[in-house]
Formats: sequence, C-alpha cells, structure tokens
Amino acid sequence: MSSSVKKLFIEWQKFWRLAEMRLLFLALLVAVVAVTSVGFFTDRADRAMSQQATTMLGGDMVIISTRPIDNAFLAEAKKRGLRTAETIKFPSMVSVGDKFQLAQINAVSLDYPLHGVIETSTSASAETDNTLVKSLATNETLAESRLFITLEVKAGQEVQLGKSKVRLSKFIRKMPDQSASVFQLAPKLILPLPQLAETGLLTPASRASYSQLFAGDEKSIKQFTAWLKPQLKKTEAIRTLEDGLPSVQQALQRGQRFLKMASLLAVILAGAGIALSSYSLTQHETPAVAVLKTMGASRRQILKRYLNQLFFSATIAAILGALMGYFIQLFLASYLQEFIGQTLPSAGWWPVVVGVLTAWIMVLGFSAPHLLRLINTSPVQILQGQSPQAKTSLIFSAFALSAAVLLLMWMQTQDIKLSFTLLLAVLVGIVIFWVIALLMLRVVRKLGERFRLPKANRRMALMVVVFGIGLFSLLLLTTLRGDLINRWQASLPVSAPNHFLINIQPDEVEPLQSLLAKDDIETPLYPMVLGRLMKINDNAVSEEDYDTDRAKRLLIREFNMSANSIMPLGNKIVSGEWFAKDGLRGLSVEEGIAETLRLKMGDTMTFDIAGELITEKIISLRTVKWDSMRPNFFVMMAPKAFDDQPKTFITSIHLGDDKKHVLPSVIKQFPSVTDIDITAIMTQVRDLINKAAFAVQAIFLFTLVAGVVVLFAALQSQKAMRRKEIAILKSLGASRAYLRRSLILEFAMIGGLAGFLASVLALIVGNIAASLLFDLSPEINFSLIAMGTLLGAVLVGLAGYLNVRGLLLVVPVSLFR
Amino acid sequence: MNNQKNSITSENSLIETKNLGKRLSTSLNEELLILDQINLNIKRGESVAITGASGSGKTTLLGLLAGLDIPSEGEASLLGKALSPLDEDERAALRLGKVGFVFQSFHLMDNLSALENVMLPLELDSDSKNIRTRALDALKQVGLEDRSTHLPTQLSGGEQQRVALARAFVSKPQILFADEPTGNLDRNTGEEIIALLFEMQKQSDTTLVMVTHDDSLAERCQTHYKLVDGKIIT
Repeated sequence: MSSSVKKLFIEWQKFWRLAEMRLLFLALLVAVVAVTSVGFFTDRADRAMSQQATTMLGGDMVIISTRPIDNAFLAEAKKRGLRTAETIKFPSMVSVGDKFQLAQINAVSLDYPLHGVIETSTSASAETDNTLVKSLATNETLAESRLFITLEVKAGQEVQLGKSKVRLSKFIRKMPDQSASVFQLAPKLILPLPQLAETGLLTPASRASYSQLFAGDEKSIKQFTAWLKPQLKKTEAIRTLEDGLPSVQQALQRGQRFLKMASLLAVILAGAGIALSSYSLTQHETPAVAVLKTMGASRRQILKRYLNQLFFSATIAAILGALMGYFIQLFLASYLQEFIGQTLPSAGWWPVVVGVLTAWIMVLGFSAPHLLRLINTSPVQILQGQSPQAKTSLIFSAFALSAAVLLLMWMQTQDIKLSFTLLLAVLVGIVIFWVIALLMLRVVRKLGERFRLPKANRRMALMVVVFGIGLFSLLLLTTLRGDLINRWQASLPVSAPNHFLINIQPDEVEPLQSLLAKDDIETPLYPMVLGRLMKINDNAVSEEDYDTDRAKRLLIREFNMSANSIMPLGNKIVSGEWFAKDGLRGLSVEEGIAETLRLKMGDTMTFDIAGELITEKIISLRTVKWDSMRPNFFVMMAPKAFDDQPKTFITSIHLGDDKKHVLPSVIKQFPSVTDIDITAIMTQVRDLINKAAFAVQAIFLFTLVAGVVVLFAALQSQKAMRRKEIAILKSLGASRAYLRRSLILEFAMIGGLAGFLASVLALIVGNIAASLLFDLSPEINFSLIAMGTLLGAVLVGLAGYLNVRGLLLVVPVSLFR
Repeated sequence: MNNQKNSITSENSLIETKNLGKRLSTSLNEELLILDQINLNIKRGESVAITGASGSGKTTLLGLLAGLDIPSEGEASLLGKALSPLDEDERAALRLGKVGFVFQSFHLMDNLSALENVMLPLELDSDSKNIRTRALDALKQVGLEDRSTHLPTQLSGGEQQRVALARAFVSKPQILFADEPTGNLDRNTGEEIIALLFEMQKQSDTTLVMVTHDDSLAERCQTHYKLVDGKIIT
C-alpha cells in the first residue's frame, strides 16, 4: 500500500467512528450495489435476449430478396470469417393420395440455423421426446403438425413434393424465424437444400423468398453490413435484430424500461440518504472545522481533508459494491438461467466503471454543497459558544443535486426522456411535499401546542419532505412492480389468442363463426385485402424518397389492409376520429408507419388493390398494440370500403387445451382456411416478461434497503437537536411517559402525513409513467393511499421512536454536558 | 484606559491593536457598537487576562486579536503582521503552529482519540516531524499518557480539558488564547487545569491571552484588562 493510500486509510478509520460517515458509506454502497448488480445483470440479460432474438432471426443478419442472391456475398462473408446459411421459401402443394395441402416450403442449407435450434418431436402431442436439431441431415424432412393433420399422415410416411417423394421424419415444434410474415404462412415443411433440385419446384419464374443468413461477432457483422449495403439491389433488403420482430421487441423494451426505472429509484433513494448523511456530517463537523481554523488550517486544507475522505469512502464503497453487485448478479443469473435454458453470456467490465462513476458523482453532487458550506464556517463562532452554522446557497444545492441526479439517471438509462421525466417528478414532488407539509403543520399548530415539542414545525416539515420522498420512491416502485407488472402481464394474458385463422372466404364467415360459437369462441373477423402503395398526395412514391430501411421495405411490400366498423382491440386513436358505422371513405393509419412514411392527417394515399387504384384521405391516426396477438393492420379502411372487393377474412382465437379439438374440425370443414399456431412465439414473449418481472423484483430489494438507509440518515440528522430538546423538557419536569408519547405521536404524524402525500403522488406518477412509458391505461388504486399512510405512520413512528429511545433514559445533566 | 504595561516597544510585542473597534448590524438594521477604541500591546511571554461582564465584548476582542474575525475600525496585528489586509486563509496561515487555543467547551473531536486530537495541529503543518511522539509527550505532560486511546466521550470534563491543553501546547505556540478555560469545570478541577495551564505557559515561554469572568483568576496574570461596554477601563 503506498504511503498516501495508507494515510488516507488511517484517516478514513477515524471518520468511520462517526455514525454519519457510516450511514453515508452505507448509502453509497447500496447505490453502487444496485447500479452494478443491475448493470452486470442487464448487460448479461441484454446479451441473452439479443441472442434469443437472433435465434428468432436464425442469424445475426439476414439478406432477404425476391430474386436469387448473388453468391459473391456468401463468398465475401466466408472470407471475413462469418458463418453463413441459405434458405429459399416458397409455397407449394404437398399431397398424399387424394389429399392436398398448400405448404410453405423452407429449403434450408445444412448449416441452418446459425443461431438457435429447430425443436422437433415424433408426434403432434409429444412433449417428452423433443429433440433439438442444430442442422439437418441431407435426407431429413420436417413439417409442422398442421400438415400431418390435414394430410392424415404420421411421422416416417412419405408425401409427394413436386417431382419427388420425401419422407416426413419429424414434427416441427419450434423453429427460428417463427413469426416472420405470419399472415402468409401455410404449414411449414423444412427440406434440405440439396434435395430441392430433385423436386423440380423452383424455376426462375417461381415466386420465392431467398435469404442469406450471416453470423459472427458484432464488429465483423457491422463491418460486413456496411460493405454490403451499397451493393444491394432494389429487391434485396437487410434484416437485423434492430428491425426484427415488433412483438418481441416491444416486450424486450418494456422489460428493460422496468429494470432501468427500478434501479434508478434505488439510486435516487440512496442519493437522498447520501444528501441527508452529508448534511448530518456537516452539522457534526462544523465545530471541528471552526477549531481547525483556529489552529491555522486553510480552507484548502479543510476542503482537501473532507474531499479526500469522501472520495476515498466512495472508492471503497464502489469496489466493495461492485464486488457485491457481481455476486448478487451471479445469483440472479443462475436463477434466470432456469427460465431461458441457456448459458448467459459473461458480463463485461463496464458496470464496474459505472459503479465507480456513480459513487463519485453522488459524493460530488450530494455532498459537495454541504462541503462548501463547511469550509466557509466562521471560526469566531466557536468562541461565542454558538454551534457554528454556515449557510448554503439553496440554488447552488438544488443545481448540484439536480445535475447529479440527471447525470446518474442518464448514465443508468441512456434515455434522456425517462431521466427528465423522473427528475421532474422528483422536483415537483419536493415542492408539493414542502408546500403541503407546511400548510398541514400550520393546521396542526393551530390545533394546540400540547402535543408538540418546541420548535418542531420547520423540522417536521423537513421530515415530511424527506420521508415523503423516500416513501414515494418505495410506493412508486411497489405500484410499478405489482400493479404495472400485473397489468402488463394481463396485456398478454394466458387467454390471449394463440391461433390465427386466415384465408377465410366471405361465404365461410358465418358457418365458421357458428362452428366456433358452439365452443363458446366468439371473435371478430376482419376482411383483408392486399394493396400496394402507389401515391401519397398525388405524388408517385419511390423507395429513393426515403432513407430508412423500414420505409423502403414498406414500399416494396404489399400492405395487408382491413376494414371494420369496430376498432381492433388494443388500438387507440391519437388523432382524428374512427369511421362512422356505415362509412365508405377515409383511412386510419398506424402512428409509427405514418411517421416512417412522413404521413399526416388529411394526406391522401393511393393503393393499387387488385389492379384498381383507390385514393383515400387519412382521417385518423392510431396506436397499435403489436404484442396483443390479435390481427393488427397498418392501414384500415372505412367499414363499407371493401364491400365490392375480392377479399378473405382473418381472425385470431384462443384455444386452450380443453378446446384443441376445435382445430381439426375447422380444418376439415373449411379446407382452404389456414391455421397458424403462434403458441411458441407467445411462450417466448411471456418468458421475456417473466424474466423482466423477476429482475425488477430483485432490484426492489435494493430500493427497500436504500429506503431504510434514508430513514435512519434522516433520524440521525436530527438526533443532536432532539437530545437537547429532551434534556430541556426533562429538566422542566416532563415525564418519560409523556416524552415517549410525544415522540411516538410526532413520528407517527410525520410518517402518516409523508405516507399519505407519497402515495397520492406515487399514484399520479405511476399512472403517468404507465401511460407515457409503458403504454398502459391509468388505474386508480385507493388502497395504495390507505396502505401508504399506514405504512408511513407505523414505519416512521417505530423507527423514529427506536432511534431516539435511548435518549429518554439519559439523565438531563449528562445530556447538557 | 491603558494599564502599566503600555510602554512595551512594538518590536517586542506579539499582539498590538490601534483604535480597534467592532460594530455589528442587528436584525433591525441597527448598528451595535461591541468594541470601541481598543489599544493593546502584548509582549512575548506575557500573561494577559481580559475580564468583563457578559456582553462586554471580551470574546469578540479575543476573536479579533487571534485573527478569527476582522475589525470594523482600527487595526490589529498578530506576530508582527497587520491582520486587516489578510484574507481568512492568510490569517489562518499566520496562526499555523504559532497560536494555540483552549475553549470553554473543550471542543475535542469526538471521533478522534485523545492522542489523535493532540496530533491534529501537528498534522496540519506539513513540516511537522515525529508527530506521534510529540503528541504522546504532550499527553504525558498533562498526565494522560495512559488514556491516549480513549475517545472524548470516555473522558471526564477535566480530562477533556487536559487533552485540550496538550493539543494547544503540542506545537509549542508563541501565543495561547484561552476562552473561559474553567467555565465548564467544577472549582477543584478548574484549579488543577489553571495550575497546569500556567505551568505549561511558563515552561514554553508562551504568551497567554485569557478571557475570563473570574477576577481571582485574572489576578494571576501579569496584565489585566477589564472591559465595560466595549471599552477597556483598567
């Protein structure tokens, strides 16, 4: 140990004897543990989630095209050390005897998939004999259970595919790229690419979708993508994780927001603990500083003395906290592993850096204003028998605190919107708490002074603010944790649709609905037509007009459009109005796509629908819950707009285990109807939600610990003053019973008031957060207010009393000493 | 106004004031005259008592003499340097290692042991050597070498003031300012402390400036200034 570190350590041991310093250290430690364990954990979970998402994509990056893709890309990728695979997808009839079924043929190269596996089984219902296929054998052909059912074949039987006969060896239970183009899917059949030529199905005129998949390290993929982009033809597009699957992405984003929010609250609470203990430390050290000044210490020396100690504490807390964070995260991760059934990628070093920076920023932002106050202590006050008090500039303190909080929030979330929202909430909260606390205490004072200890009013207001903010954070997180997660999970309930029925002909609508009704399945059917966007406001649209890949892709593809008098569930109008019941004209466009294509209310869009150009004006913009697992449409037309159009219908239904029998009868009675089973992808999405919920709950614990630290820091900060007051009251003849009752009453009142205000504010902020950040509808929970008030009164009453209880036992004369 | 010692030449004096005055603004925006026309000359090794009733301005005067505060009018010099042109840190630097303090309420740091409290003034001076040994010696001088590891809360009032004496003398200061050093002690303990204080002052040839309301204590000093309503009358 170098001599200066040794010196610092010796000094630190001296400061460690102060309760204020220990509390400050504890608050720092909690903050760092929260930040690093969340950091390590989200880092690893992020990577795992990304891996899972790449599994869904089948690779890190995919080129898709309607034409065969230049083999030069594959060659270049191999040269760069990337792994590659190819798939060709096209629809084709599969038959056995006189039974025919349209299938989605996926001819895949033998190294497919690059990420993830194909899960298979030997029978439709078997759960036990699942096998994981990492790559196909040359003679292995797999198919989804729907194909087996409609063709009435079993595993191992041969079916006719083009010119050749192939043996369906296994059932596909789950495979990468599960949800891609969900509405166009017939049951899938996976065929090894080398066998494709024999079938004679693929000709240059075939309508097929060609993909080249690439996998490698992040840097190589990025470099390769950059090399690739300028060379792509119009028919070719790149798909990466970022523009992956809307449903999974939304679930992923929500999960991360919860995590960030939870860890931020722990940090803010710990910050309050640090600010309070710094304040107490300053109060305690002011006479010491005055004495040091009489001895000849300069302000610089004093500043150095305290800064050194604070930063040394912060550094020790950071190192210790990062270590603890790492181990806690190991525990979390091992638990999490059960959920995802894969080894988590190891954590990076970045969380440690964030931990150290967090501790330093906190010390600087939360302690520095107090320190400046400390070094300006006037030494002459020590002679005058006063407890020296130096004034801090309120504006400077507020600025330093806000800057630190904002910086911490940003560091933690890298989301400036979320950071500002929270900071604003905290600042508004402080002002509201302060004003209401003062008003209520004025009322209390008027009610009678017999319950009050002298000079209690301003201090009580301060305590209400401090406890209020602490309780607010706790209650907000409770709301978020319980209420929001429940609601969020409820947004994807177990009863959410897990089957899509598509290709329903207009004359099948009624018989299908009555068949489903027999099993109490009621569901709206949406007409669907395909339309290609030709013009916006009379200007022909072209890919060149747009920079984003998403916009370009939208213009290549045909839109699935629908029309209905009732807005699909989960959609919300953000601008304009929904169609009249018998409306004929107008368009309703999804907000996100409107932004991508730079569309606004009143713009006209011209679509080519079955060779006919139809021009309509945008009369409303909607938000859509893509993860609702229901038919959702970018563009919807007026209810009667499709009356004369050739169309098919689509619907989604939930089939629990008790209703699985419905499916075979639907497929038998309506052979042209295609069923798409999305159980697998729903399981994946629900898995993500569960993981996020678990992580949030774990982080809630840190917030709880931070809250307790704040409580004790607040109590500690007033102990000296209380000691004096009790001494005076005792010397005036106050009995211990009287003092005990007064103290409990005072603390319970402070706690109850703080709890009441905190729960009201938590309810408001929680609901704002729910609707703004998580897209959930507001809900008022009165029991939270009752719980908050009670919790505050009991918690603060008890902790406060326990904290000062010792003072009641001391005789007045020794208190004076 | 001045007493018999005002013939001391400036060269020998450690503390000197000329027409020193201090005014304070009250909360009602009125000016309050605390000290008026104070002329003092305190020489090396001298012991000086300043007495007066409560509110007579004696503590304010002590603060001005030690450079803890600045006068509203007149001039004070400490160790041959005029204090008014100096800022707070320069005044502190002037005191470093050369001025010691003893307070009525001891003002020991409660997180530091007796020894650590005594080491403090030496630690502030980067040139100090053998800090620990010197501090232990000082503790020995006040008879507390076996209590060196005790925290102030584990010491009696008298013991705490002894530690404060050790802390004040450890850097061998040229001047010691004492503010009611027995104010918080019982009579016997107070006597012991005063005896120790004078003994140490003599041994180290330190100039002593003591504020007290105890006339008998003041009589033990070579010079006695009495303050009434902010003016020296004896």
